Amino acid sequence: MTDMLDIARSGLFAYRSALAVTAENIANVGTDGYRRRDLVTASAPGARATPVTQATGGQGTQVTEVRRAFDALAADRLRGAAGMRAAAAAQLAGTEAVEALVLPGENGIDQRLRDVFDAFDALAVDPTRGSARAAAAGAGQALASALSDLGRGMASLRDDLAARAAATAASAQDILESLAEIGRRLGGLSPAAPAEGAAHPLADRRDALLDDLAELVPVSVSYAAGGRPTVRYGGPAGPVLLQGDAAAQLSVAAGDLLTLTVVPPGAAATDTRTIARGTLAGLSRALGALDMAVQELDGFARRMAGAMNALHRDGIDATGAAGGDLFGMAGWTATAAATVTGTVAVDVIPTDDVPGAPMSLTYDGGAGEWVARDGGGAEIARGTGRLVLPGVTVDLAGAPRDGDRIDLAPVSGRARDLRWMPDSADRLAAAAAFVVTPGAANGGGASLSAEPAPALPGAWDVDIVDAAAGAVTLRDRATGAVIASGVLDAGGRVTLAGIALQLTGGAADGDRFAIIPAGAGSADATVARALAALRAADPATGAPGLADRLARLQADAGIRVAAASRSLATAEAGEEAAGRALAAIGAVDLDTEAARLVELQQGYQASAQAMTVARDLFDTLLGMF
Amino acid sequence: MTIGDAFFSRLSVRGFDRLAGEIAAIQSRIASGVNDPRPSADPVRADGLSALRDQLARLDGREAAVNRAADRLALTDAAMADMAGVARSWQQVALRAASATLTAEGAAALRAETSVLRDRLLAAANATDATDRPLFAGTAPGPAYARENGAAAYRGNEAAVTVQVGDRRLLAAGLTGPQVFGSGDDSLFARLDRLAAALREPMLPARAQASATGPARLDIRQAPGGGTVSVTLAGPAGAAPVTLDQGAGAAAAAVAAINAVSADTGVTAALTSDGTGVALSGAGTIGLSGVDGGGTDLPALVLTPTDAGGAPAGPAVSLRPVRLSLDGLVADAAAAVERLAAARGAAGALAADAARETAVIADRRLQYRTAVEGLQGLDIAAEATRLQALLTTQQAAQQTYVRISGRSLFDFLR
Repeated sequence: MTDMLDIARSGLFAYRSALAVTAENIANVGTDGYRRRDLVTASAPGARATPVTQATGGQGTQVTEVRRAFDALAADRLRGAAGMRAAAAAQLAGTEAVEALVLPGENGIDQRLRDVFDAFDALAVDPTRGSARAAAAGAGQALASALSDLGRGMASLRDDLAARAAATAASAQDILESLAEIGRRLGGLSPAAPAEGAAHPLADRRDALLDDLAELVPVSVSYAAGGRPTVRYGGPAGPVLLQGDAAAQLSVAAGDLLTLTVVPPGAAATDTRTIARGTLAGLSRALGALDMAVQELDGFARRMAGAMNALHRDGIDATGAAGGDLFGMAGWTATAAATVTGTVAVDVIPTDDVPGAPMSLTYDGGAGEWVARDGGGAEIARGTGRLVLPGVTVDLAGAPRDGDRIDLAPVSGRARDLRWMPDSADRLAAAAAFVVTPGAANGGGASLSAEPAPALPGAWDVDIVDAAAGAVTLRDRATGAVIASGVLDAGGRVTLAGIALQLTGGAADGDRFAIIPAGAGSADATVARALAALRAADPATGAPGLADRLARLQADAGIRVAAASRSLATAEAGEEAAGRALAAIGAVDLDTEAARLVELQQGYQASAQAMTVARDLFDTLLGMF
Repeated sequence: MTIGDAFFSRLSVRGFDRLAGEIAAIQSRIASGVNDPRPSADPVRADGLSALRDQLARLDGREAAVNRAADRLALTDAAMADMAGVARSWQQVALRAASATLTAEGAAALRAETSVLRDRLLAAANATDATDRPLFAGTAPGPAYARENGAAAYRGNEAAVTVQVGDRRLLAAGLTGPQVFGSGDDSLFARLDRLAAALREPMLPARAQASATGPARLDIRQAPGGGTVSVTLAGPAGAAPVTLDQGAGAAAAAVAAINAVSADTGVTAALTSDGTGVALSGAGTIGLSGVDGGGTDLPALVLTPTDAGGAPAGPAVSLRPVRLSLDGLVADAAAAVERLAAARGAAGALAADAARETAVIADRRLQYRTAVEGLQGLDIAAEATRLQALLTTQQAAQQTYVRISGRSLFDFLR
């Protein structure tokens, strides 16, 4: 009879434990990282026959294990997929930020470029009109500022992305430290703890942290006895991030590429630029996309400035002076020496478009001043807040320390340094230095272009002496005196007295072309027209115009966003699939738990009923006496 | 396969977020009335839009250029209409000046009228456009013509003002001074100056030809800077051209030149007794005609019939250049009318070209705007349909989620 009571009691105990586990599952239905538990029971073995007792078939049931529904492979897949998703999300955010900077439209950089070309068009229509000149100068100034601001905006975005990368590495470091603590606590548990379920909450926390870590950096996880994780960077052969209760040190540097430095516990530092997954990977790709956009922008600015400057230099302005550069691109870089220990904010403002020589600034703590020196070490200037140096003004702020050094180096070709050079609207050169006009009596249909040497004053006539032989003469227009004679080459070119002539089309004997200098106030608009024509493709070569080049830059930014967006969609789908697989193994489903609850409740009630029957039987036996 | 309530909720919420995002995007597009302008939304569309915006901007620039050219050409036409009036008056003055019955008073009146005409012509030649730019100075600044030693001198250049109306096409926005008024002796100003000179003393009484039936004295006006004058000398043996020097010692040189063709003309020459004139003699009538050169203000040659002793035997006759002949003056006026008509026609052709360009630009703008609308404009019907579908999906998703997650097996446990 006592056997029956013991068996019923073991059933009651087992079902009560199982009901508690189910209740725990239900209670944690919304807990992040929680894996459902199952109670594993086994029938208790019976006793063998002894001289005084008979053998028994069994002694009820016993709890052997509280099993945590976890599959390392499925969890690893999910972490990988989550890392891909996090990388794509970070990449998308970064590329969207770049796209936002170059977004086309009424307020976009493309509109500023259109404004300039519209202004050049208007200047070409009326090059002597002051308002047209002022509008062109204003539009040029606005374009230079917009491109410069865009370049600075991209540099600022790069700083933000680098700061985010540093914050991401710091977060990963925190997670590693937390995992190390969990590893310590797991190691301190008794060997029976996992079976008893005491280690499961720590395992839940461990897995949640590993999931968080995988969203930041690519990891590979293996488990030692007791569930202590070993985490490596990247794959199973990567540097150790966590072993036992020792965590590696992480840091990032955003140089040309994003570099993650891992210092594993007790090992040498490892630098890696191959970051496959996680937010850090996305930030690295976003930085790459940003650097590409910066390169494209700098290239566009160089091409635009080069083309416009070349045309403008050939013209003459409203005062009759030769046109100078429209855009300047000289700039400076300020680099803090590795030995800097203070905090210094440096703003470098170029004041000249002539490339300067490298300089250095050293903080003299005793005098409380910055000392500027040239490349040879000679002192140039000293001061506190602002130093006016050759070609550059430097604003300094912060809390420097004695000996802190900042190196200044000249640089050119960056959009952020783009500046509008003409100091007044009159300095805009709309007219060509010389106008070539065919004589009214010319019999042929040829046209002549000339590039007179700037040092040669006066006006000239070019006479076609013998069209068949290509014989031409250059005469002084005032006196009619022959200055030089020559023969056109096969391409219709000849240089006479330093004037490069190019005859196009068929000329007739006796044709005459006048080369007339355009003075101050000329209504010639050759240069303005040529500047405006840079907007569109070159009809002669088919080379794309500046508007098209800028549109490509903007389209490239959009294409990178679209690609990142597609990657994110793919990664999200992958993560969802991996999440489903893991959830199918270990997620809490209330229907399942309810069914399980009913089942266990019935078992518990039946066991209790068996105990009642045993008691009744016992009472019946006692009643016989 | 069950995925658990938490994961089911997470997936559902993610789906709701996606639907809400799409609905918000459609609402934003409908509110703005345009498609998503970001290149990432549709790189091809964004690229096309950018190109079309550039084309439209270029059209705007070209339209402004064509309008400017049209304005200048309209003002050119107005100025030339005034010039045509001057030319018609000029023609009448020339015809009246050619009358044999012209009196000194009549000549004075015509001279005054010619002066007015010259001023009007000069004013028209210095006409400016709406921005005060000269119409006929080419690309040079300042007035096209200025008075210089009493004559109109061109101060512009021969480079026509042009505007860009195509990738490789320039449209002239006017004509230069030489194109309208000509240059040198053929310029309208030179022709009008000749008419004025012909109506002024001492050229007024001068004749295109003079003759003497016996000996005659020829006086050659010396020019300060020298120069030559050509004349046809006719005598009893025939006629021959003679070039006479107007420098110092002109008489002696003329004697030699005339005697050099004595065989052809039958006229011999000798210095007069005072040494300042040329005594012509021949067996018959001696005539001079076809004077060319020598200026238009003063007659270069004066022929006076004399007796055998060299004393004047008749009135002295001044010779005017052929170009100042009455026929020449009428021809000058006719040429002016013809030249101005031709120039006005050329300006009109340019204006017609500008009008054609304006029409072409308007057509292109319409095409580009249509294309822009196609790319940028929102298909409201399609978007509204899509929005309705999304709202229905969202509603169904929310209802099914509530139904599924709001009830579990626990609801049936008693």
